[in-house]
Amino acid sequence: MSEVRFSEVSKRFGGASVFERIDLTCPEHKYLCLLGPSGCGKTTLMRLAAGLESPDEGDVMIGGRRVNDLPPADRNIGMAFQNYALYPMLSVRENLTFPLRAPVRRRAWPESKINSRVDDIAQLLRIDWLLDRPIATLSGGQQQRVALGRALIRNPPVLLLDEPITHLDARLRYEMRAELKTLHAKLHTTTIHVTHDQQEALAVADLIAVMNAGRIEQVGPPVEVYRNPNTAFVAGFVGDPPMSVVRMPLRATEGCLQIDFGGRLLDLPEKFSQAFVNTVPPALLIGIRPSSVNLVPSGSPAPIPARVYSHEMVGRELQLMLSVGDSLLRYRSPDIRHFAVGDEVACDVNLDNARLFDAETGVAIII
Amino acid sequence: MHFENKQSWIKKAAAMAVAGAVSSIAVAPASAEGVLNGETIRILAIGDPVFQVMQRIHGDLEEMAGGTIELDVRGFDVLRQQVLLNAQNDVSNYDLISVDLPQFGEYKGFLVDLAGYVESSGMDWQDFHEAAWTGAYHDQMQLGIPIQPHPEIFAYRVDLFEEAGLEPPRTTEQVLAAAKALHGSKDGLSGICWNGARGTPLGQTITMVMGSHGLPVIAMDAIEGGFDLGNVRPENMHPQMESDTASEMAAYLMELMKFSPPGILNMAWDERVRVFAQGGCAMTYIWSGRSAIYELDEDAEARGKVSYLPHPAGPNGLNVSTLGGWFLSIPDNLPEDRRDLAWSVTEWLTSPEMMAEYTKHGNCVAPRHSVSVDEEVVARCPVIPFVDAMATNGEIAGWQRPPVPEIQQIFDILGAEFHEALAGAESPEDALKEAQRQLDRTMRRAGYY
Amino acid sequence: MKYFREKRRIAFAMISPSILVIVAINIFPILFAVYISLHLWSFGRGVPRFAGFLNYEELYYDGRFGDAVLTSAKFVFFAVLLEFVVGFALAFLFNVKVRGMATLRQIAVLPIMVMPIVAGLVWFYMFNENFGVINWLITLLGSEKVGFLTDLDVALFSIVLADAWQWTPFVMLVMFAALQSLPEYVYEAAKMDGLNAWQTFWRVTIPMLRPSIMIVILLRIVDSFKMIELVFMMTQGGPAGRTEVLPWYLYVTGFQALDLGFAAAMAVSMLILVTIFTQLFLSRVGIGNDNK
Repeated sequence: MSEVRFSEVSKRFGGASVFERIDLTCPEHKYLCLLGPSGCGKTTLMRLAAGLESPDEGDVMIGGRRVNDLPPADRNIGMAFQNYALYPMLSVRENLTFPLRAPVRRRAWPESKINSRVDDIAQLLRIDWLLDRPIATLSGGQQQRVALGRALIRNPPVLLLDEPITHLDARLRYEMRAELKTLHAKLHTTTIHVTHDQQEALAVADLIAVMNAGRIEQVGPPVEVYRNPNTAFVAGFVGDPPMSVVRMPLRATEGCLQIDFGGRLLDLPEKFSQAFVNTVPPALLIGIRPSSVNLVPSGSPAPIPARVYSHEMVGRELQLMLSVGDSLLRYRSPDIRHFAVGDEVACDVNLDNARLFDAETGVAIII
Repeated sequence: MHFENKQSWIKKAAAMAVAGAVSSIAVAPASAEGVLNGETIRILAIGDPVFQVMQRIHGDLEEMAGGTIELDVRGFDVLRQQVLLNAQNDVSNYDLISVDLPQFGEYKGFLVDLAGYVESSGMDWQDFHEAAWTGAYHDQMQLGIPIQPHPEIFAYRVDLFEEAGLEPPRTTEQVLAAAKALHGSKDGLSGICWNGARGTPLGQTITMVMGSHGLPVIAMDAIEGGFDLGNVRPENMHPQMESDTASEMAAYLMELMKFSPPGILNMAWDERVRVFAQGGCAMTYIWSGRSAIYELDEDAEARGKVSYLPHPAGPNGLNVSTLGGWFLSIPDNLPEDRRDLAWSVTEWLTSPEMMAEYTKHGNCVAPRHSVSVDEEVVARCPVIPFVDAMATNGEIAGWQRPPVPEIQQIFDILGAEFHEALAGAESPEDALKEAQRQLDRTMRRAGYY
Repeated sequence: MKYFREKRRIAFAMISPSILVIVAINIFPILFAVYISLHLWSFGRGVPRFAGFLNYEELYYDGRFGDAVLTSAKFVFFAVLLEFVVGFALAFLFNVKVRGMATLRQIAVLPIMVMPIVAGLVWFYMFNENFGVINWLITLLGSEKVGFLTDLDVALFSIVLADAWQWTPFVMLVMFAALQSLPEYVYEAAKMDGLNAWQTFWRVTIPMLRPSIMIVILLRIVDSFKMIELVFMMTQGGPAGRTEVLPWYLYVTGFQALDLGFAAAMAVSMLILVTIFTQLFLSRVGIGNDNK
C-alpha cells in the first residue's frame, strides 16, 4: 500500500500560483518521473509528497491515507535531495545511520539491526569501502550514492528523488541511470523522481508525467509519451532530438488539405484529412520528427528550399537546423559532410508520422 | 595570534595606555626676541599639571620665548623608558628632560651638574624651598632645577572640623579620632581619602606614611632632622618592612580602612581629590598642587573650606611631608653648544614670573618663597602659603621615597603585597613579611648585598 | 636535474624576502626574548649579565607568577565562556529575518571598534563606587553599593564583564556569518529524519558550526589571554591581586620595574604556555582533522 496520489492539489507562494488543482497518481511499485523544464512546479509537487511543503488545496495521499497534516518523518518515505544534503560533519557510516538513530525511530531500529542494515545498503550501492570516510572527501558521484543510501536505509515504501543525478558528469549519469533501474527492479519501491532531463526520464521511468508551467501535460509510459505526445509542448520537449514543432498555414484545394512549406505545398496524408471534414483551421502546429526530414539533390522533383541555420556534431551523426519559410526543422544526417551556415539545400518532408496539434490549445489532434 | 610579538605589543599597549596619552607640539617659530632668539628647544616632559599648563599656553609661551618649543609630553612609565633610552644615544634627542625627585638616584649617572650655571647666571637659589633645591643635590652635584616639586600633604575640611569641635590633626591618633567622629556623620561623608589602589599608588602611600612614622622603607643613614638621601650606599639598601615602625604604619592604614569611602581599594591620585572636592570625605592626603582641582572649581563643595597640615605624625614619628614632583635637567649627552641654551630656558621656565604664570592656569605649585607671598597667587591657590610655611619649618623632606634605582620596584612590591592586607586576603603581618622577603630578594638580585 | 635545481634556486630567491620578513618580525623577537631571559638586565643600568636559568628559577619560586597564571586562566575561562554563550545566542537572535535587524546588528558590533584602553576607562567610571553610574543606579534602587572593582570576589568578574562587552559582538559576528553559510538542504534532511527544533540544534546545527565555534573560541582564548588594557585602566591588578593577569604582571616587572630579564623569562614562559595550549586545543578538539 504505497500508492502516491495528488488529488486536486494547489500550491501558491505568496500571491504566485505554482500550480492549481493537479491530479496525479503514482501507482504502487511504479517508478514515476516528473519531467519538465525548471520552474514548472515539479519539485514543489514532490515536496508536497515529502511533507516539506503543504498544499493550499487538495489532498496528498500515500497508501490511500491522507497525509496532508503528517510531518515528513511520519510519512514513511525516503528522500534524496538535489544537493545531496548529507550531514557534512559526519562520516558516510554516520550519515547512513543518522535516520535510524533519529529519536523518533529509536524503537524501530535496535542497535543490533543498524550495523547489518548499513552494510547491506553500502554493499547494494557499492560504497562499503567508503564507510569511514568524512563526507567532504567524497566525489560527487560517491556523495550521490550515499544520499541514495540514506534515503533507502529505512527501506521506505516510497522513495522521492529530487534531480538525483543531474549534477553528475555524463558518464556517471549514464551509469547511475542503469543503477537506479536495477535498484528499483530489486526493491520495487514506489519512486517519484524529479528531473528536467528527458533522456533520463525515458531511460528509468515506468511512467512519465510531463509538467509545464504548473500543468501536467501528459502522463504515460515512456514509449507512449515519446511516440504520441499529447501536446505540442511534450512533442517539442521529449525525444533526442525532439520533434520540430512548427506552425504552418493550411490550405484546402480540391478536397485535399495542403500545407504550405515555404511556398511548396505538401499534401496532408489521407488519414489526417478526416479530422477536418467540417472545419478547416487556418493553421496547425505540426510535429515532425527529425527522421522524417530528408535532404534531396537540388535537381530532384519538387524539393522544399531550405537554408542551413545551424549544424552540430552529436555523437556519430550530424544534426542540422534547417530554416524553411519562417520555421526551423531539425534534421539528422547519417553521413558526415561539410555544411556551412547559410548553405542552400533542398529537402523533402514525410508527413506520414507527423503529429498535428491545435495551434490554439496545443492539444494533439488525435486520429 | 601567538606571542611572537609580545614584547612589541606590550610596548605599544604601554605607549597607548599611559593616561593623559601622548602629544607633541611643534608650531611655527615666533618673533626672534626672548630667551630662544629664534631657536628651537626640545623638552621631554611628564603629563603633570605644570607641563599641561605649558601645553595649554603653548602659543603665548613661544611668543615670550621668541622661538619654537617642542614639548613631548609622556605618561610616567613611558617617560621613564624614553629617558633611559635617550641616555643610551650618542647625542640626546632632547635639550631638557623632566625628572621626578626619587628618580635622581637612577638618573644621576647621565645628568649635567648645573652648579656652575647656577653660579655664573646668578640664580637666586635660596629663593627655592630648601627641600626642593636639595632634592636634586646628589654626590655634590646639582642635577636639576625645581619646576614643579610639591609635597604630599594633609588637607582637611575646616568647616566640618569646627562644627564637630575637632582639633586640626597633627598626629595619626588625632586623624583616626577625627575620622571616626566624622565618618558617616553626614550622608555620603567618609572620614578620609587616600591612595589605596594597588601598585604604585598604595606603594607610595606606604613609603610616605612610614616616613611620617619615623623611618624610610630602606635603612638609610639618619642625619640631623631626617635621613641622608644624597648618599645612599649599598649597605643602606636593606628593606625595613619588619621593623616596629612598619607595623605601626600597617596598623594605622588598617584603621584608616574603616573610615574610608567606598572604592578605597581602587582609589588613586585624582579620584581621592575629586571625592574630597565633592564632599565625599572630611580629610585627604593630597599632592599640594592637586588642590587646584577644587580651589579653582566654583562648583566644588570643598572650595575655600580647606586647611592644610603636613603629614600627621605616627606615635614615634615626625610631622614631615614627602616632597615629590618634577625638576628640569640637562642630559649629559647633549652637545656642549646646546647646553647654554638649555640652561637659559631652564632659568626662564623656573623664574618667579613663570611660576606665578602657571598658577593662573591650574597649577597650584610654587616652590619659591618669593612667589608664595604674591597675593594674587595666594588668592588663586590658598595651599601655597601653607606649603611655603612647611618648607620654612622643615616639614618637607624627600627621603621617604629614597632616590634609588629600585624605587619603582619598591612601590610595586609594597603596593601589591599590602593590598592583600587592605583587602582582607592576608593579615598585615604576613603582607609585611612577604613584602620584606620580596624586597630583600630584589636588592640581592640587584647585587647590593 | 639541473633544470630542477635551477628552478628551486629561483623559487628560493622568490620567497626569500618573505622569509626575511618572517624572521625579522616573528623569529627574531622570540630569540631576543629568550636571550634576554637568560640575563640579569635592568634597563638603563649597564649591560646584561649572563645568569643562566636564574630568571626561570625565580619565576618558578615566585608565588606572584603562579597566582597570575591562575588568575589569567580564570579570566580567560569566564570571559570566553560568557562571550561565547551570549555571542552565540545573539547570533541566533540576529539571524531572525525581521525588519531593522540589519541595523541593529551593525549597532551591536560597535564595541569592537572601541579602543580597549578607552573601553577600560569607560568601564572604570561605570563601575566606580564614588562616581559610577551603575552604583548610582544601585543606590537609587535602595541597595548597598557594590565594590565592582574592590570586592575580592567581584573584581575579576567586572573585568570579565567589560571584556565581554567589547568582544561578545565579535563572537556574534563570526557565529552569525557561520550560521548564514549553513546549507539549508541539510535542515530539510533533518526534517525528514523527524528531528525537532531542539534535536536539530544539537545534532545538526552545532556539529556543522563546530569548526567556526572552535576557531572563534581559540581566537578569544588567545586574545583574552593577552588582555592587559582593562586591568591597566580598571584595577591595576587589585584588589589584592585578584585581577593580576599575566600580561599585567609582565608589564609591571618589565616596564615599571624594568627588570627585563625576569620579564622576558615570563614572556617566554607565557609563549610556551600558549603554544602548548593551542596545540593541544587544535589536536584534541580537532579543527581541520575532520575535514581532510
